Amino acid sequence: MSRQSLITQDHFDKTLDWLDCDREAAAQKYEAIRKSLIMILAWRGCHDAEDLADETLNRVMLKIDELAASYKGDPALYFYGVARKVLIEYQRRYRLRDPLPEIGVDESKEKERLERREIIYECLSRCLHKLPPDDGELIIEYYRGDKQVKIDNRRGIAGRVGMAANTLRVKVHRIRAKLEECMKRCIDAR
Amino acid sequence: MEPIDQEYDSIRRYLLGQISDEEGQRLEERFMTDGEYREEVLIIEEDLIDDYLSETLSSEEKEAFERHWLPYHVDRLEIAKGLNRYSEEPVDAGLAATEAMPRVPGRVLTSEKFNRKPLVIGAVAAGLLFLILGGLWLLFRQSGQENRGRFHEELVRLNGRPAGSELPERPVALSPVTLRGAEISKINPAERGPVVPLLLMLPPDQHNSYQVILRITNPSEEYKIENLAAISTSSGRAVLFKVPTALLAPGQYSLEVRGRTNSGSFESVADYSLQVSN
Repeated sequence: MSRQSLITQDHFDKTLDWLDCDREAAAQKYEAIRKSLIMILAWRGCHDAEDLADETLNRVMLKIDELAASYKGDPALYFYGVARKVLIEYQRRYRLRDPLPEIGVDESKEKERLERREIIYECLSRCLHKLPPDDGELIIEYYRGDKQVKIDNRRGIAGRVGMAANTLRVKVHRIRAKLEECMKRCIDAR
Repeated sequence: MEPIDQEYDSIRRYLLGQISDEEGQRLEERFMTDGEYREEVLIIEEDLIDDYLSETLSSEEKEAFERHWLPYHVDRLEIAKGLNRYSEEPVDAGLAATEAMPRVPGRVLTSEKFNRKPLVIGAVAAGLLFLILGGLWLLFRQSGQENRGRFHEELVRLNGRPAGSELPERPVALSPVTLRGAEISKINPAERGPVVPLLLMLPPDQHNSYQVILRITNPSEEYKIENLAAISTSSGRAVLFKVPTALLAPGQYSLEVRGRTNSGSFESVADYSLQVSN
């Protein structure tokens, strides 16, 4: 029986309570932990980062009674510790597999890649539209140009909108994060 | 603990797989617990992608990027390429990418967009006018509220039952608004019965439950109905939303479908436009 199937609403509710007594804040922390784990696992070389992050969350949820009673410290670090164990198990499994054969240019793979790109561009179009108009224009403007032109362009935008360069950088990052989140949902749904 | 701005090189080397496991663990622990640091790491990652696409990485960094980062983030690189191409696209160019990536209508960014003080003055003036007209407004307020309450109850009643598998007769199918725009559906309530069934066609998504928000421009009103399920139609999945015809006075309407996430919050799925004529 998979761990996922053992998770009940009660496990989930108690985990949220453990993260924060305010339900809305707890849900945000849960999402932030999940996203952080996915990023770390991908940076550590996992193709299945989302699955491994969910496996981590499930393992923690199954121990929630014990944790809520005795764990001291930031819960995010506990999740991280479990993720490291999950990662080690994954790396062991991965090493046991035979290496994939080297193949040259595969036409079906190339076709798949181009189709994937088409989906990404369609989703980009859709998600850009869903941004507030000012945000959509800002992010497009921000990425305009190449090398020195791009640097000068960004300096120009910062001047026009009356923001410090770093503030502008953070603002664009937040817009981009929203955009990528929307795109991920859009791509996954295809 | 190092100030964030002094960690730039470490973070960059971490993303390229060029630091020890111990150093990486220290960085990851901070990433998990410090929101500001987390944001900085993600910004540095975006810079790294930019540098790769601009071909400004050293050969060693480029090799590390392609070996350590790229195989696990292919989609993110494509998104960055897409954004760059969007930004580079001349207004009337016939690039191959144009069909897939229609352009956001260009407007020059100005400080006015980020500096709304004139709006505050406008709002004060509008407030004074509001006070003068307030007496008149109060006369109509009560009846307006009663109507809104009545329409809301009616919307809840009409949409409260499971949609079932059979479509109502003559539904009005609305397509999501996209960057290319959308054909605005027009209806004439006089040609309809007491209820107008709207089929809000869904883009591919994975939600189990939906909220529909109906927005009326003039007078400004908003109705939210929750716990709606998607149904299958010959053109794909859709949310069936029934509206009492009496609510549809001539004018412009917009609708938004939001999906309920696992955490219980809602996220936007698609927007729609509807024109009601005489």
